Amino acid sequence: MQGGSWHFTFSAMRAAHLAPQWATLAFLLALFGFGAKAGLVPLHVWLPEAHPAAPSPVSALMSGVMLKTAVYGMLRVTFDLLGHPQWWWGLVPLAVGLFSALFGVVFAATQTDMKRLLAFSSVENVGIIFTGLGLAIVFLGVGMPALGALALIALLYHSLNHAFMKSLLFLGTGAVLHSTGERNLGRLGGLIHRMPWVAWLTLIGTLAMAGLPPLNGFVSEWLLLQSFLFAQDVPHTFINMLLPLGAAVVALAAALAAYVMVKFFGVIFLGQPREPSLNRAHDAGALERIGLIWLALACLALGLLPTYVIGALRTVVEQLNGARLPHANSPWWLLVPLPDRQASYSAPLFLVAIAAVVGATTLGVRLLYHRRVRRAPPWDCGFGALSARMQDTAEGFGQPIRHIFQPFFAMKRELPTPFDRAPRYRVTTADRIWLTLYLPLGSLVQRIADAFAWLQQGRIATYLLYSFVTLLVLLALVI
Amino acid sequence: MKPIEILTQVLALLAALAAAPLFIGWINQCRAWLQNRSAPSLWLPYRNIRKLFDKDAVIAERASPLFRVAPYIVFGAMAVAAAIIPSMSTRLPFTAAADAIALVGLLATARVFLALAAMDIGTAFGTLGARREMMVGFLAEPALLMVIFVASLISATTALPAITENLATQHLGLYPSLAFTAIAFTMVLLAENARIPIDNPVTHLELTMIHEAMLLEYSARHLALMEWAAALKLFNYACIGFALFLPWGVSAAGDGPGALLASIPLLAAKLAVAGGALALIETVSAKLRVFRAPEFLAIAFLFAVLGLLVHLLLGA
Amino acid sequence: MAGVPVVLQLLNLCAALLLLLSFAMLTQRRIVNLVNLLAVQGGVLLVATLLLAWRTGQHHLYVSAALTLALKVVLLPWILHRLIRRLGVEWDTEPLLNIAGTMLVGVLVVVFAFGLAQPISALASTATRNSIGIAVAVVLLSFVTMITRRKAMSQVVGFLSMENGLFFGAMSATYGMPMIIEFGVALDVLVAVLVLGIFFFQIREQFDSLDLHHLESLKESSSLEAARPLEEDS
Repeated sequence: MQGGSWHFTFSAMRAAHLAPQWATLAFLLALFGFGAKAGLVPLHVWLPEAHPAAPSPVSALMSGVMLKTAVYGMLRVTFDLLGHPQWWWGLVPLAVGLFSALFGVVFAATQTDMKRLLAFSSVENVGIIFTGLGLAIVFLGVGMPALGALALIALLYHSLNHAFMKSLLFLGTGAVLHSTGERNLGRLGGLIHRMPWVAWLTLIGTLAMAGLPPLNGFVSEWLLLQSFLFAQDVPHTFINMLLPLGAAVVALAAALAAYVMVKFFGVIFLGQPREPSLNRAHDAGALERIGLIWLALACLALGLLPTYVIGALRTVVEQLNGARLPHANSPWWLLVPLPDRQASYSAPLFLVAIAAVVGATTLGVRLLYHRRVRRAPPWDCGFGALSARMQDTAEGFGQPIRHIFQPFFAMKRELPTPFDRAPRYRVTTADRIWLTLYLPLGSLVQRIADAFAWLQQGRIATYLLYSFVTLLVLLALVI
Repeated sequence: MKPIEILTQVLALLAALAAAPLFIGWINQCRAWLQNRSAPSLWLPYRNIRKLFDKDAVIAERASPLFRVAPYIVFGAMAVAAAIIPSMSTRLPFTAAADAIALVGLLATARVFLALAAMDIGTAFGTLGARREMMVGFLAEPALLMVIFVASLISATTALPAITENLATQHLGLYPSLAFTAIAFTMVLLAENARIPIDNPVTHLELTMIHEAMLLEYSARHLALMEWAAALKLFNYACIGFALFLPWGVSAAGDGPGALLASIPLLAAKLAVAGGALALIETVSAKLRVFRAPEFLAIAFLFAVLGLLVHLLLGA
Repeated sequence: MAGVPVVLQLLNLCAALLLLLSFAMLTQRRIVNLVNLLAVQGGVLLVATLLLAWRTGQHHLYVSAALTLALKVVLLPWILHRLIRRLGVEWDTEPLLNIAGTMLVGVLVVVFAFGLAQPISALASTATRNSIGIAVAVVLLSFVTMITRRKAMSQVVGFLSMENGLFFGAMSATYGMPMIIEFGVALDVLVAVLVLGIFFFQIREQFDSLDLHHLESLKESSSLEAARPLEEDS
């Protein structure tokens, strides 16, 4: 509107040239709005409540697609409608994204509901996507278009990857939920024996989410880290020292994501069943299997063929703001994003190498040293009678994170004393942001609403009086 | 790709596989000397591995196929990592497929599979070990990445052989930034390879174990592969350290086979010194409480960040 | 870095060591080790001054080095150690919470100091001008050390470390301060330490502990609540 015309079409907005402060305001408001939709901290509180409540395929759509529409909106506003972003705008999504990534993954590590865990993991990935966005804005603002294009490609690739990985994981949890009726991690376990198809296909999603080569999670992380690496050429003094620290935070979030995924897969599928009813679990049906299989294949394909994906994304980025990634004359199986820096990655070759070595080892061991295999009870340190309750619970596995990242949590603990007849230990972790930001806001709104409650007198005569007074005022205005 | 490159690549892999247990044997010898004990034989790790391969495997009743497959994957990941690290030569064609960040990813793969295998049995010890190993891992990985970042910033690339070549041709001098990152790298090495002060590799007390707890259920050929993979991991880390901080003597592109042969005794010398230093550090340190390990790794991360900042400020 | 003279490399090394020592002081728990780190810091300053004196040929820097040796390496640590022994706090440790958070703040402070110092370095004309950022960082880190500590001795060490940082800054920016100023500052520091030592005895008399949180009870409160001694903490 500030641009002069009152048309709300895209072409009109593009044509409008805004003064810098209005453009900044527009950018920040867009970030607030789209960030809330995407689930950036501190506007993320709806995500862990909404995603688990939906049926699993819908949760998959919500995490995979709905959050990305916010990313699309942000990209549209920043690069298309606002034209030339100023470089320092990028610092806001960068900082907020990094904090969201860390926050999301730390909370994911302490969850006991498998879908809430995945929801918080979505918060983390959205944080990483917005970090890439911030980086792209910084690069494009200071006039480094190739690196800006790289950062944009990294974030778009990550959006794509996350859609497939998260959907795969949500469908896996859906299969588990359908089969066992349990969402609580404390009542699952050992399902790899009863549900092998679901387990092995979810394993692919787990490994992809943990960012392990040669799957797709690694590719987008690699691209993002590469663009961080060359951030030290940015010609502003504080920024070029702070950006490598941002890379360290991204690495921390990625490593924590691996932790969370090990917890997720290990507590649900590995170990012993924590409830006897789990022995009646059945494996996924044919349709469920197809759903899982095609997503797993997509994860594999996105991981093994990054050059094709980047080829497609490259045109998107060029259309968006004209920044182009330099072309490298490399074969289809080698990814070389920036030819003048010697950084390359080849997923197919990687996979072939690992498969070859593993295969050679297996073959060698089989041929030379194939002795018998005997089954026995596991090592119990002389205690005897190790029950299924003695393995790590979901809270137990998240305890180191809770200990190390204590300031993030609002934690309440009930500890047993030595004199309790029936000792119990209870810990509840709550989102500090909900308690400090939203609850006070909510109670404030409630109080304001209560203050206006006197308007609601309950007598018909009073309401007729309101209508009468309004009618008089309108007549006076018109005449 | 020239035949000599394929040769050096395969040679790097085989040499790592062959020499890793010897490195462990040497460290044990140094430790024994420092502690005034009589040393076990240098070849003991080889005999151990051979003995383990010859045994029948005992697997827990509830182990899944993941448990049986994990040792092969872990070993494979470590072996592929050994093929990327320029220990004797920088002419490793496979590094075009995997740079330093992919190397860190490989190490993460091994760690994840090890942790999953430990959780598979469902006893308290396995899950305890898995939890602690992942905790050490998620703190050590950013520190390792920062170390690699500093080296990459100096050399403007993330391919490890290119970094090595660049650092080897730098003017010989005192680089405080590299000194700081070297200290950070040593601390990460101690943490990731389960040495004192993070974890005691010879402990038999399950409640204090981190790495050993994950191997409790393995036996025979699976345990042999895991032990070999652990030895390979230490060897790889040592070679990464040499590639970043002691890059001289590694044969480069354009050198003849003579340079390759000459680099072998130099590598042996470096490994001997490194093994002695590692044994010394282990002897004078005490094992930390588990929740002091994050502080230890935070200090390592701090050193790496300091190295980065000093490099950006002083250009040194 | 081809062709950078050895002396300059050594000076850069000294600067880096100073930064490292400030971080070590930030995270050190034992008070005796803190004082030792301060002595080592003085030693590094001594080496840096000598190197600079040799390279630039300015003889007043030799005098400055002798002053540093006498005061910062020998006298002040000796006074502090004696104070520690007489106060009986040799085995005291500082209950540092959240080392990681403190270090993170330290890193951010260092980045700020480096960024701040870049325009100043551009104006200076000495060969060591890049180290001005490190000097500012040392000063700020000592300030953070003083903020995060509860024991009185640690605060003194932080104060002295700040002075060390300022001295290094003067050296790298202008090859040292005029001798009058140096002598004056040295005298001030010495007197400050002596006076603080006397104060510590008084504090210990009053509160039976050197924990500075006890001084909080000296705020304006109702006379009925006056100066209720807090629990003893070790």
